[in-house]
Amino acid sequence: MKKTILYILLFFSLFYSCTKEAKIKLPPQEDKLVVTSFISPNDTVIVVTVRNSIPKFNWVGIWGPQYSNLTDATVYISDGTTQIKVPFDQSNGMYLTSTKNFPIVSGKTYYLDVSTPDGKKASGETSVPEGVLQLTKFEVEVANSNPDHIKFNTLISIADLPETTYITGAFDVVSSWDTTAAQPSNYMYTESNYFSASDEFQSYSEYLKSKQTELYDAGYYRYIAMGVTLLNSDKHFYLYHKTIRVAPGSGDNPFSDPVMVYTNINGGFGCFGSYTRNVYFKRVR
Amino acid sequence: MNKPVKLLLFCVLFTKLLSAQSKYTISGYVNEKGSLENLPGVTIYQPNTRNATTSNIYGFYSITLPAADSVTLSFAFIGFATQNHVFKLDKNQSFNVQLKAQSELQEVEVVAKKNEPVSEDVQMSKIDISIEKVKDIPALLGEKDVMKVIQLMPGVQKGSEGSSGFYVRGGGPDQNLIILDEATVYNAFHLFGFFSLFNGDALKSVELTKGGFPARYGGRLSSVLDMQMKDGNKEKISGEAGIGLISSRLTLEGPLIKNKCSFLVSGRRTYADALIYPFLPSDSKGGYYFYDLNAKVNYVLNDKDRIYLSGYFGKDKFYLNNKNNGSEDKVGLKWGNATATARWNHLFTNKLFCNTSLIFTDYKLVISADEKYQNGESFSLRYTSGIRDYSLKTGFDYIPNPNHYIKFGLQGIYHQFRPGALVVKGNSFNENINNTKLIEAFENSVFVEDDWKITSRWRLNAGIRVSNYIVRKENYINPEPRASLRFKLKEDLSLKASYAMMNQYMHLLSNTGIGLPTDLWVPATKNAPFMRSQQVALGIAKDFLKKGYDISLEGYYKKMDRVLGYREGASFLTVLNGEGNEVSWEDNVTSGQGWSYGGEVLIRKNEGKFTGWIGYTLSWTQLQFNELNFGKKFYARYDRRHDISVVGVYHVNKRITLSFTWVYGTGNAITLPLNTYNAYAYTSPYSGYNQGAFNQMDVGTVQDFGQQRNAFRMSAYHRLDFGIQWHKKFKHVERVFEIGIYNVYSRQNPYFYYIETQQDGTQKLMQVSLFPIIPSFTWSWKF
Repeated sequence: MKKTILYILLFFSLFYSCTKEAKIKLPPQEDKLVVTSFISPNDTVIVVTVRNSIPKFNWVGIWGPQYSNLTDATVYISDGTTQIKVPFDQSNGMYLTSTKNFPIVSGKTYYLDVSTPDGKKASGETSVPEGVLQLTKFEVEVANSNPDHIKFNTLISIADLPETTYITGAFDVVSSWDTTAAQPSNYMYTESNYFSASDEFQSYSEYLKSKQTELYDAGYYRYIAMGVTLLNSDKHFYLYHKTIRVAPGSGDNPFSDPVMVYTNINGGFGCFGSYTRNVYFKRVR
Repeated sequence: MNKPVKLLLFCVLFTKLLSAQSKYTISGYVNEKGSLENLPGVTIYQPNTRNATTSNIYGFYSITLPAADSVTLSFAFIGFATQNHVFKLDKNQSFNVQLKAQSELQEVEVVAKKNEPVSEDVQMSKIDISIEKVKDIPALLGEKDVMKVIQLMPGVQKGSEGSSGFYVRGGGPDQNLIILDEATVYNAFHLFGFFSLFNGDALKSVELTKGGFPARYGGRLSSVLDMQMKDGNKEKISGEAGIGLISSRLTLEGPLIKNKCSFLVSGRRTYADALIYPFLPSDSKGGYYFYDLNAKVNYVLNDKDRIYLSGYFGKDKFYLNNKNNGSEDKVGLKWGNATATARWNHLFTNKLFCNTSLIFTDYKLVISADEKYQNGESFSLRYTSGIRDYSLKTGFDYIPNPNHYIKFGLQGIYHQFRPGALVVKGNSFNENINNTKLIEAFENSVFVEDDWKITSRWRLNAGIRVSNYIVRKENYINPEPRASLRFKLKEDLSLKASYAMMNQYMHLLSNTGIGLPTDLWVPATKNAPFMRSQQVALGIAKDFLKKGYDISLEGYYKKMDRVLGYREGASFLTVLNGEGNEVSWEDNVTSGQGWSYGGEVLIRKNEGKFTGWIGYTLSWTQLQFNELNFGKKFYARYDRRHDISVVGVYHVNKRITLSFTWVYGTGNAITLPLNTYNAYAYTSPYSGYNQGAFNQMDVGTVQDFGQQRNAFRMSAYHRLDFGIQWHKKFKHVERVFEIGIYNVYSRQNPYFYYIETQQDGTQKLMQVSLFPIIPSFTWSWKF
């Protein structure tokens, strides 16, 4: 019996593990500003959000406020000659101003500077791309005839622009009660699926993309359309979105490699990017 | 044809004729006395000349010398007494030799010379592992493991604590070609990587090549681990048996027809599951076990023909069965390898040896889950993946004279890849089958190499391998030049250089790198292209023959192209991409390039009461992928700046052997988050969330890793193991009792790190360690 117990103890010692705090050298822990703004000649407002990051290790602080938008930052946007202060909008919790106050023009470079009362600073710059992307093909096939459950097969082809390098966009299933609108206006339900053009597109004359989407409970809607949003974006916008679409939640999988989120914000995180936009709709009901 | 040309041709032919008439060949097989086991790598040389050759892996040798009344040939091999034989060389002769093992001569001191001094060998970056040495070196839980001994060599690094996986000169574990009796072994691990498949009792020889690959090897970028099973004792029944803490083993070998036909059967099984079974509750049973079975039969048909049939079969199984109030669930995970090799040796002439092999290898993983509920409904899931090869290989050894040893041959492999098939069944829904299609591929090659002793100082092994790969109607043909050069500065001091290009037509998808059975072999395709490496190495080798030790220094630079990595955020569990589309394994991977360079020192003492070695490696390994780390270079996870191994075996007297190993390695490179924040991303103006107001929305919490992958290091790894063996000889049996201590000073080496949230909301980086000090006891018998 003693021998048996000895064997069992020794077997379990095989799976013995010890946990203790790791002793490896880490850089100084500091919180940084998280600044996000995407500007476009096709938008009517300039929106800037400012938050704090939280250092990962041994950070003693209050959790809530760091994840909320900062309200006391000073935000300036300039085009190199003209600079305006972007005011904080209490109702939306963002810094925003109309493009009437500060027009965004294709081909120009813009600068964003953010500072906070506690001395933190962050900045970024973006050059707004020229030209709008065009579709050369836009086919929507309704794959099944069940009125309550519609499957769409969408195929698009995007014409390359001579200066185009970075393309992002979205497929939107848009549905509404409104039967009169030629364009969707009173949205009941939309679903967006974002995409980034592969790098190979840079050397091809057109980019083909297909997407299968589904709409459940379709019987409720009188207006159903497939929308395609095309963004001709700058490099920063493209690289940031390529990583940010897969980053949230990726750390939960112990078998996956971490996603390095791109940033072009000096002194902080986030993105200051730009794009021109074109939107297409094809009504299927 | 004009007159001078005719005259020249006549002279050349006449000279050839004369020289052919005046030379004769001595050829035959070298065997171990007592068992008639073939001995590969035996040096056969004419003393005081540079006429020498070595026996091939089947023990065959051939040496052609000028006619003489008296020619002495010496037969020397590590662990065996050297024999000298005198021949009257006036005709071609067949001569078989039986060498006596040193254990029969002297019981304590290791006295035999190495088969070939390191300064003599043209091949660099090659390590022969003695099976006897493997049995002397202390091991985790007393389980002697060839692959753990390989990890103690310079240029070879282990992956993580206890793992049998190894990394050679910056290459991943998938870049090692592991072959057992010519059959590729795809998953060489038991117990989630802690033990290797290879039972030392069944092995005859183990050879690891890290660079300067001869043309006969191909198919992997970084190393070739070539293992041969014993043939089986042709004279008498003998065997070995052992009882350890977690497994027992038994090997039996003997003649089926004396001196003509022999067999070997070797088995090993763990029994932890059987030990804990009685203590588990009756409604919840589970366990884990693995077993191995090696078998071999060989038959000497006549002087010119021999046949070998060998096979390996092994399986790991983890299972858990629960019963509760009429419901029942069963979970299982099993994986296993099977290999079979049929070989035919044929002597066309006494200078031309041929081996033809028919090879089969199979690896399969099955994950299963079955549930039965009280209401009669059921659910079952089966996930299977694997790879199967059928291969035909013919190789020739042509030894025209002592200055040339020419090898040439061809091989064809038919691969069947099954990257993963999932079948889900249940009462409440229709059968759902996600079958990844079987992918077929053909890998063919032809090679020729010549080991050429140019002068007494210069020796060259030059060759070329042409590999061909066909998959999905894509056809690739790649020449792979190889060369190794040796220049002797002194009798026992030489400079060496080598160059090798290697192509690899398959990839291993693995996020962990520790040899989990879920690692998936996939073929190179257009989207996951084949890999290529080019390696140059320079070295210096010095023998101290009188003192019985040797020193080798080597520097290497290796460039790897199209190495495969997972896209950020993807894993073998990933089934949807960031756009919500289903993805296949080809969508999860991206290819890049790698660089590895460094220096290695190996000091070995091969003779005397005290034997062992010191190995040191200084190396750098970097990778670069356009899709990873923003396109910047980063250190590989297994980049290890310093790696040290010290191994000692001391034969105190004929009854007691002491041994120790000490290892040190720089910690693995890891990526750690430094900041966390809630991020915004662009949103479509027609998004339901946005309703067209703003162009950004909160997408959740993300982490910042300092904008650099693998920028941090785990704590350094170091460990001391100790073993003591008591040998006792009875009339027919020799018994060895061993006490081993793994991790003598109980160093808490890092296995992995994770982040733990404390009660006050702060987060701490925690280190998990396996295996503190672990004693073990093993009994073994040889009869």
